Amino acid sequence: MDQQTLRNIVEAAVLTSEVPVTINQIQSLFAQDEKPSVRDIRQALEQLSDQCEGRAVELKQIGQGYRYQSREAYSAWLQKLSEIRPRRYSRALMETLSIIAFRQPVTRGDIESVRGVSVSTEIMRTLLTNEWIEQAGYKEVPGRPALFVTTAKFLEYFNLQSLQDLPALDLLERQAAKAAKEGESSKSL
Amino acid sequence: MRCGVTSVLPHTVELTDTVTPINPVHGEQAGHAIPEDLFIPAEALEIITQDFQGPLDLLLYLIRKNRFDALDIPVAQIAQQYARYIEVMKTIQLELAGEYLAMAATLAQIKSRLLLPPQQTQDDDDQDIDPRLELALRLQEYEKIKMISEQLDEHSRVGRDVFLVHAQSVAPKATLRYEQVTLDVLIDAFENILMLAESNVPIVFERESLNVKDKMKLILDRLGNITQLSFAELLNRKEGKAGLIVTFLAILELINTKRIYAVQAQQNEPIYLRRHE
Repeated sequence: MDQQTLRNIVEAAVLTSEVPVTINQIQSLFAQDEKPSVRDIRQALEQLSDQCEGRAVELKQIGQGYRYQSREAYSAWLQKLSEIRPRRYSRALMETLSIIAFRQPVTRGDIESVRGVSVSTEIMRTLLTNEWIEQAGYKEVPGRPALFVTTAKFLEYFNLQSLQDLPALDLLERQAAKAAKEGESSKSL
Repeated sequence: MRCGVTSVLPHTVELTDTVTPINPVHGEQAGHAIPEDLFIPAEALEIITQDFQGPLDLLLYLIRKNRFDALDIPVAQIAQQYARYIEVMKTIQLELAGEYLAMAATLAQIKSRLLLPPQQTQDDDDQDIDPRLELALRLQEYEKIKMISEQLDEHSRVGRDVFLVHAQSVAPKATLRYEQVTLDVLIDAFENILMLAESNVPIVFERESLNVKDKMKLILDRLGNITQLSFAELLNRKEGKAGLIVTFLAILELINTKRIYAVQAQQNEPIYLRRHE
């Protein structure tokens, strides 16, 4: 199959899918004897992304998948198009979500110990209904508390390729690494 | 907790000077310039406390406000300020969460442990760590989450900052899997058509021979040119009830003699008639 045909099929698949499409999913669209390689698909995606240059839409990787979305620069106009006003979420909710995202898997107790206040049932319910978090088994400690993790939908909604997308995390990890290093050297003295 | 350390000790006296912690948390940094204007009017405090996410948040605020190093918390001073906040919270009838009191108790406990000489009797692997370290680590962890949370809140979001591009796929009919329908389905479909025919009162009857054989031939002829005929279209209501019955009988006869078959993609989808190859 020539690159142009492959690129068109990939474009159609990404454009018509309701959720981000993964490279594996794209591969599964083809018959066994004409499956394109992961490298070819990746190349097709790169070309599609390049084609968006200068346009209002971009091809964005979210988690393992790819989707087309409008560029942020047009949000002011596009917001008026949608009937639903974007909801604001409380600091407490955002903090709870952040703990689950960056310390997962966590129990309610873990969240409480980081925030120093009890976990709001209302917040947990909102996070679960929005399908940003889900239960992932139990911690094998007395009481077997439920463990929570974030979902693919969380990445999709917050437009994140991965959790590493937030610059603060990178900065903080580097600070921590630096601190650990300094701790090491001071110990050796 | 209202031990009044600040009034007894000069500001420059660091608590670490009075005890010898085995694990010093920080390099010596005596002489913090502690601002004197720690008092916040009650009205302002009400707004502030509503804005705090809990005792750690308040503690973090106090430390940041006084520009203390999180790893170098002068516990006594912070505990005092903290207690003052709780005092004010009480006077303005704020719902005082137990968590705030617990934090005040923790601060008081850390302070009292710092005043005591370190215990020498303990084993090496059970070292008496600086009690402030644990608090400092918790504060650091909370501050980290707070920063991440603020960034996450500002990060572009679907439906607010970015909008999904979606194209409608035109599902090709070829992907539908047709299955042969049973007689029941045909009869049900026929009944529906018949009902509609009866409800349509002014019907012009054309005189034409109501002959099942002719009708069968007509259907087969039409199927000679195209791959399939719509069941509903074939049963033209204009034919009237009698005409409909003849057509239906012709269809049934053709199916029975295995010259045509009826298919349907799924329930309630249109039924099509196809000729056997």
